[in-house]
Amino acid sequence: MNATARDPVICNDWHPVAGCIDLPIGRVHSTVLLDTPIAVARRDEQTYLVWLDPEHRCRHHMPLDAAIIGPTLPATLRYGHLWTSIDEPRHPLFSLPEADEAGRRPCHPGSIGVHTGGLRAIENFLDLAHFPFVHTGILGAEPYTEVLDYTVTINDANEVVATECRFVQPQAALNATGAAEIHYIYRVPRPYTAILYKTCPLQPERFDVIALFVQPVTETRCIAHQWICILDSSSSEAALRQFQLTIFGQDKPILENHREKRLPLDPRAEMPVRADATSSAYRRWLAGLGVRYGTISASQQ
Amino acid sequence: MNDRVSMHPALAAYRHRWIVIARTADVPAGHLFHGRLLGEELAVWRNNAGHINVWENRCPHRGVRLTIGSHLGDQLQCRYHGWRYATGSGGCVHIPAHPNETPPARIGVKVFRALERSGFIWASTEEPSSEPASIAHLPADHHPLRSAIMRAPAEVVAAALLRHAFAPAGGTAQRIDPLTVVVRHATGQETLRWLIQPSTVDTSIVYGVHAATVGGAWLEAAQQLNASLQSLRSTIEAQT
Amino acid sequence: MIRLYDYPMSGNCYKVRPLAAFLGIELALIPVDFYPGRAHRDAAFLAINPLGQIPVLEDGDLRLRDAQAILVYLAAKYDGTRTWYPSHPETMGKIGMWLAFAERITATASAARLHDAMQYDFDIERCRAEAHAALQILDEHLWFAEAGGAAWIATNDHPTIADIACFPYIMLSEEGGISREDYPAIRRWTDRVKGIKGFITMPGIFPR
Repeated sequence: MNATARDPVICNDWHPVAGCIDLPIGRVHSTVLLDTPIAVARRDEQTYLVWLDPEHRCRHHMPLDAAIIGPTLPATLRYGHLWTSIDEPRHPLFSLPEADEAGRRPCHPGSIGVHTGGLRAIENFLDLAHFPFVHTGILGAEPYTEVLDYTVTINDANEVVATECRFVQPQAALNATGAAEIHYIYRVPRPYTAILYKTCPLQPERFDVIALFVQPVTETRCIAHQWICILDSSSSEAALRQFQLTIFGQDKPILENHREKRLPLDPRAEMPVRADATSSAYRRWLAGLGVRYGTISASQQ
Repeated sequence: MNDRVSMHPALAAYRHRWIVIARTADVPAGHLFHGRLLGEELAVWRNNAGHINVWENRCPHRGVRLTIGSHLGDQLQCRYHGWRYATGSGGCVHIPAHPNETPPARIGVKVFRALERSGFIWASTEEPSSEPASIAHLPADHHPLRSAIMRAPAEVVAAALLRHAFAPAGGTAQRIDPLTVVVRHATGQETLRWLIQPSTVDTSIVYGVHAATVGGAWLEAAQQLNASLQSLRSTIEAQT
Repeated sequence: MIRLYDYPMSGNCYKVRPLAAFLGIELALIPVDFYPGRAHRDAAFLAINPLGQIPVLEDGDLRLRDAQAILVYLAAKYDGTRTWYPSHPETMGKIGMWLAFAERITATASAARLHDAMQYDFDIERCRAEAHAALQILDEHLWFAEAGGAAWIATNDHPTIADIACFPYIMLSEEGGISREDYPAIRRWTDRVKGIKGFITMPGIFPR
């Protein structure tokens, strides 16, 4: 059975399918969303197209030609990415007010394909305890391994929110000059979207915004689109991108070595501890929303 | 549990057997060996004293393979969150996110029965009925050959090995148990033994043991037998 | 200082960094925004390397492209003991052979990774099949090398640039959907490479 057929929550949601930077005018971008081959193109500065390409006739980077355009899907340009839905979107795209704040610098570090289910990528993004072991010397270092208690709630907009997260980081950001205790707030507006608000090394009263938009390709493959909107005005674009890609590149072999690439929703399937409060809340929240795509539900255990 | 699919009926027949899963030399000190047994993924390692651990290759915390972790001597550390597991029991002894707390006793890696004999590491998914002849009667003076991984069920591989034989002129081949083929000279002296590891329902690994030849010629013999085994592998894979 | 045009996710750029570390050479890294910026295709970079490939090394007036060529140069020039690229003719021949083999691994396993991770349009099944064929050859070579007492690809006791050249895209193979489960001799050898004193990693490759 087509895995999407049983999941209206995910099929009727918005999903990212390309970063604007990967869409040169007049070229086709061929990709897959929810097991569905699609093609994406930018016709001119303003016009973006997304269409179904069931026979996979569109090759990556081929010239855009009216003859190859199939049945179109909704397309919205926001947060540096093109978003679409393979069905009828039931909600507007989630809000991220910081995107429009003056003095912030949006940057798309890149979209990376990963051999794991997208929910695993989101859960990893919400995780503090791995910093000293996976991002050694950058986002964490032994002996600073302790995860102090933090608060996880579901807000009025039915989003998972973790606040009061703290961690000692050797180099929290490209423009950090030394180790510091960094404060984090996590927000999960949609199953495949997570946003991190992180102490800005230069303006401790404000937060850098780092977002992970995940494109579920299949239940066991995804493309991780990163997007940052930060207060650093001095670092070069290339340096910012490489910092983010380095961090993600360190996570990648972990993500690709989960024995089960889908996310188990039964709390007994994988053993959580207190430090995993966000992850536990995320799994419960996914179960409550009725998300099936990319999960192993309790009944499948 | 999520990734513990029930064992395929074709493999269930081997559940109570000791099955070879690696050569001794495949697991040198400090190495985390990625193995497989009847569909189960294994993390095989030895502690500082040389004791062999055969564990499920899965950290119970987030299901990440332990073979990408670190060997700490008498503990294995998961790469993801640094959780540490003790040699022998597989019990969790340290959770760095809560460094001042004792990990709950229920947290541990699944451990398989293991023993090391005659230059091989053997494991069993369930209580083994006995030590099989294939362990007990290996020729005293022998050399292991390079193993060959074949995309075919153990039964098909065993039958092909028996048929192909690699026997010297006048020699014989005999299947002494479902996963062992012994090749003898016309004199009755054993020259070769093939041990078959059913790694999954459709993948098998063949380990060879070559009775020692005089002088330093064994490496040459090993090269020839490797070539023959690889050619048998192509034949088998073309048919399945 | 020696300059390296570098991209942190590139296995070919990475080859240069551990050798430089082993030899105690300090490198000035010049970031090239390979993806998503495609800066290696810009006119400015094409003037540095008309092939549009990274890495490129600059040492004084010398400019070298190609990771394997850079390894040969650094080892020949800066390794006083000549252990990383011994001047023994037979060993040099073997190293040359395995440097070419490293290129084969790049053309197959690295291509598979670019397809899966960065959406390159390659024939993925063919990339993977040819990568497995190459890994099979190396595993067999390493098994018999070990059986004969040799720990490294082209030598017995000390690693050479052949080991460094083959290492990165083998360690990154899973990113292209190529498992190393069937190659136990390769896995032991990658452990030995990670155990070399002064070994450094790249994103995607863990320390031992």
